[in-house]
Amino acid sequence: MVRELAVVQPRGFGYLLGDRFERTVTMAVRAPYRLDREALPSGRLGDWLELAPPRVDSERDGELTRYVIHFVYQLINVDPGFREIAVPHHELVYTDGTDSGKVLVPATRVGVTMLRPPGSDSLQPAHAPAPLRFDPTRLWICALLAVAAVAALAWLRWGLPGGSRTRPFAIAARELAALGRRAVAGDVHGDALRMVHRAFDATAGRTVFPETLDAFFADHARFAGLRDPITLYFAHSRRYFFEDGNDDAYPYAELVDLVERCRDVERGLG
Amino acid sequence: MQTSTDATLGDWRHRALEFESELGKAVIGQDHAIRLLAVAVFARGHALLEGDVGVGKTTLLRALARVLGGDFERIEGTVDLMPNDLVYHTYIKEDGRPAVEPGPLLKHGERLATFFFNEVNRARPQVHSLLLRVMAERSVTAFNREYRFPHLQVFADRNRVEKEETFELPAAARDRFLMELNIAMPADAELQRQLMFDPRFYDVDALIGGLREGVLPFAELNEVAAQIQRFVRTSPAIERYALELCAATRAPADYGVTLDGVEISKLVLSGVSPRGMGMLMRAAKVAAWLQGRDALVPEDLHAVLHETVAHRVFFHPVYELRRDELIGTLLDQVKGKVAAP
Repeated sequence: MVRELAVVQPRGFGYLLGDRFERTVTMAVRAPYRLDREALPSGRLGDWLELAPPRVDSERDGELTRYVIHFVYQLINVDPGFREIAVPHHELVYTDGTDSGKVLVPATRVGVTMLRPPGSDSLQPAHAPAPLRFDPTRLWICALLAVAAVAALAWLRWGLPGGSRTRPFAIAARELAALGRRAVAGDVHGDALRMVHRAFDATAGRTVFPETLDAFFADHARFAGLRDPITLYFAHSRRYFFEDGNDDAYPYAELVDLVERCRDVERGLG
Repeated sequence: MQTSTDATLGDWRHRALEFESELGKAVIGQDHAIRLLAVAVFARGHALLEGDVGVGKTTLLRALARVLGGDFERIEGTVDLMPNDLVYHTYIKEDGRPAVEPGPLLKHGERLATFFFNEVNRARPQVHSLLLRVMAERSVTAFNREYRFPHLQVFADRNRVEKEETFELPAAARDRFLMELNIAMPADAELQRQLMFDPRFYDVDALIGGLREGVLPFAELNEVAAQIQRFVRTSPAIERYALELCAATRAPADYGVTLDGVEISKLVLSGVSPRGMGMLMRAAKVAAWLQGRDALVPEDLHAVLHETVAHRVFFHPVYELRRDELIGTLLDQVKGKVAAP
């Protein structure tokens, strides 16, 4: 049977939409009776409140079991017409398995307040925003920056107008792409290798051989980062043209990749 | 003469490297010249050495004769040397009767392997003419019969300092030489120090005498040389490149060659002859073989280009006086302008 019942009610005023408040109930029950937790209320309570599933702490004191039940409510709705709302009563059920009884937690009331000040019909800013000042100079600067950005992107993608007509590796890259598209019969691999040779020759200003690669890198240090793939290309070319004519070990895609990297270095991007 | 059946070209290459190594013991700092002499030996071509006085031309050729094996003959070019002096020698015997003996060319018969003509430009054109025949045909007619020298290689030297009382070799004679080598003093300071302070280099006879004799069986060289020419392959790309290199020496303007202060279209009177083209290819194939390859690549042509081609390119008289200055630049530009592949 119930030996104690104490209710700590929440503060009675000053709640805004979304606020939470708590009501704490302490109840002591003598064995073999116990609190029926399944019967505890939770969920939406009327128009204004939402009750979270209550948290229950319990401790044994001899044949008594003391329960502390925390009811947490959230204010989910307010209306200008209501300054005070009711927090409803609850019934706590205790049972020993066969017999049961109820204890009433009494209702209470709390004061609620609107977010906006009383008397105002709608929320308005205190001051109108200042109009932006129209500055032709700034407009021109922005326009120029935009044009420069577009031009820079275009340069990165395509280079200078007409530049690709004079840069050896740009020419080679274009010719390789055209060769790949045509896919004509004949010594396509040999033609592709020759195009790249001509690009190296034009860059160096003289025919480049494997024996003169060191001089090439000394004169054109920007290609030094590609020393390994370039050396590999020359070794393959020698094998293909002068030794066994084998083109298996050097995929076309690798050649295209080398030329594109050389083209980027040529444009100062590598 | 047949090559011994168990001696493969690989073994011969090993011997060729030994040959170079032996020469290197007598003459230091001349690795490039030694390699080219090995090329000349295995290409069975004659070689002309040119350089300043005392740079080691004669020592190098004496060392070569010893290491090569076979009979060696040497003659000094002088202004009064006549062709007959090469062929026979006349004298009065002790009994007062005249006698005729074979001269330097004939007395060794077919065993003559190395004929060293020292200071060839001091000899008269009549002698050059005989030399031309010997070099081209490896034979000479004397005493109503023909003498043949199947293993003969002529090495000549010429110093470039003195020009008085000398007779410039005619173009036809120069064209017979597989290569002309320029022997220069070693630039390396340590090598110069050795040449100056190491007593080993003071006594040339002892220096040459310390070399192994007959490292290369001279009688088999003709057959080995033919095998090398068959062994080293040439792709269509390298053949095209070699032909263009030669064409560029005849018409450098067509290949975009330019030289300072030279009207390039009027520079060359005649470029590499068909014989010269063949010799370039023979030498390049041997260079490839010595490098351990069985296929010719542009670098092999470059390795022998100057030595096999420079003396076959003849300039307009206006430019001939500047030959030493121009020929190197011309050939370098030719290498730089002809595309490969």
